[in-house]
Amino acid sequence: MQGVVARSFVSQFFHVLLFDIVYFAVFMLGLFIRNYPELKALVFILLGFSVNYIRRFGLQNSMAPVMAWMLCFLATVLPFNFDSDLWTHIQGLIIGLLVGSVVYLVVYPEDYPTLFVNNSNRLFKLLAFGMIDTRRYLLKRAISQSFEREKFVLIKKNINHLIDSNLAINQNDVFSVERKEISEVLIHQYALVHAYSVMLESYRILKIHDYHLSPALRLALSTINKQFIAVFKSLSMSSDYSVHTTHTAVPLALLAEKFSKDELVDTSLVMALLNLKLSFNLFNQHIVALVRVKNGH
Amino acid sequence: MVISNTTKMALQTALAILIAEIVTQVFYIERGYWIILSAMVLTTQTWGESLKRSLERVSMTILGGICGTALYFMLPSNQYIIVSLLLLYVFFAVYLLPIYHMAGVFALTGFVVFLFAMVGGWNFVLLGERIVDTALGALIAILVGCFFLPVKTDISELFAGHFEKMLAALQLAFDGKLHTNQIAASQRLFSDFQMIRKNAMAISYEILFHRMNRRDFYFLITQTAFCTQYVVGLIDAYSWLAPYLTKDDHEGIMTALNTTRHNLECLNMRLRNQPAPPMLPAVNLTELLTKAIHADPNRFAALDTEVLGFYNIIYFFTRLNTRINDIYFLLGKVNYR
Repeated sequence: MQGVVARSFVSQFFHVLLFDIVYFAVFMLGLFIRNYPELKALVFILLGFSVNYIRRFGLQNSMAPVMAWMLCFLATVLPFNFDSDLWTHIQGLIIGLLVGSVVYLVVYPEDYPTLFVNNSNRLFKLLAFGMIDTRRYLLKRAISQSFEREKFVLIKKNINHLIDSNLAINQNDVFSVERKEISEVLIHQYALVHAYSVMLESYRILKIHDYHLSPALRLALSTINKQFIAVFKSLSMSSDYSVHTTHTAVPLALLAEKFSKDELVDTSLVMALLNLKLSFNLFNQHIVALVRVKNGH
Repeated sequence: MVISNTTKMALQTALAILIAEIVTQVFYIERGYWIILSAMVLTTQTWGESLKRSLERVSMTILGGICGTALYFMLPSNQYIIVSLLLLYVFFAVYLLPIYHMAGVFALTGFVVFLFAMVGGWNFVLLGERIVDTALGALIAILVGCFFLPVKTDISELFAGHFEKMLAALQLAFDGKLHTNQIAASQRLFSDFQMIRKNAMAISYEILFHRMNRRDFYFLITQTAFCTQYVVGLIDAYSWLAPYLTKDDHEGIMTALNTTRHNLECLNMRLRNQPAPPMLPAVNLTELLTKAIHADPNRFAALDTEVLGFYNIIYFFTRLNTRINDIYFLLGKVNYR
């Protein structure tokens, strides 16, 4: 039953019903024209036009139009005896459509609100993983592989995928109520991802210029990372879209203290470190905002 | 009369099927349905997408067909094995088609092999016919997509539109509107770029015979990705740092914003092949930073974000303008070819 584009269960049910009727009708059409080559060609052309023309009605990315054309096409090329086997094939189609409908609606039905919650929780876990790997990167003595191949850089693709998926869910009117809160949650999730990008960019600049941070500074950064790991691990979204954490904002005073002990005059180094600290501040700010959205503080 | 893209696609599909039917009838092709089927499914929204899918379809039909055929002849001729493999291929075809089209087509071809094996039999003649017919159908879809009401991406306009959105987001961020609106603007900008990146592969096929080669195109995509990231970073940082900035800081930021506005406008003129004034170099902003650090290094020692927020923002402007300059010079190079 590919091709259903409805989001709520009721509209999905009606889509399934409507598509089943269309699929059955075009299959029957295919059966009745299979012995008339000219008519068959004409029907394929007209149906090919129609199924693509109706894409403008919200079916741009749906497989349903192509499926309808293919069922008609399939009915004309199936090798069988028209007089004796016709009813068997129609029965097969009816059973197939019924089984497909039941499976689509009952087995792993598409539940977008739950997917939004799961995506959000995966996002927090991935950010935690990213911070774990960043900590490993900081504490490693020799870094041999390319920066772009580090795990904490590579996971950015997955993070972006999750955030895109949540955005698509939000844009498809899945949430009848609480839209404003969910949009706000999404904005802060975006901001967290961008803060992560700012952090990566800082490390990239440090790597490009081959700056070696002092052990004390690396240790301070590692401690902060460890605290953020705990915060991201504890972040979770409930089914009512509220975000909870058992941790408070990560204090950055230690970092400022360690920074002040190093002589900083190189523009690129100063900016990289300043942005690194900014990314931590943004993490703190948006985590607090995320937890506040639903609680209404 | 303006014809919508869906109408164009519908007309292209009808013509592709008509040509496929004529080819099948004129050359008495026994299993011409592969040609008709391929012509139908490979006529897609844009010519680039049709070309991409056609190349993937033909290559994976060859590879998937050979693998499926080898598996069919290697395994014992047992109905249960055939049904099991059929189901396995169906699973992977349905699973992979929406997320990784190429691998999905590979599984789909395997499915066809075992479907034929189940209803009658499969042999090398059928494999050869399927490959040739699929290639013919793909060729029809490509030719129709290229010459009849072609839907091609206006690459210059695509990027110019994105840079206009970038400028609009920056102006919204710095005009003192609500905090949430600022981040929402950066979110929209990011989504817009993700859409360009998603279609980048299909667009890259459209420029096969363009003076901008694929390497330049991917360079353009990468630089635009950086620009988007810096604008988003800029907006996020400003939304948080604005309360800590002094009047002088605000003036400095406005100067940087005006430089960026000028550069983005020049870039858009060049993208649209209009005479563009020279860009303002990003180095001016870097000098500003360097001077401030050398004048008072202690001020930077603690890296206090609240005090040094101005430099965070200027940093993003610097990086953004550097990338805009890079794109501007790339376009200049491409225009002279």
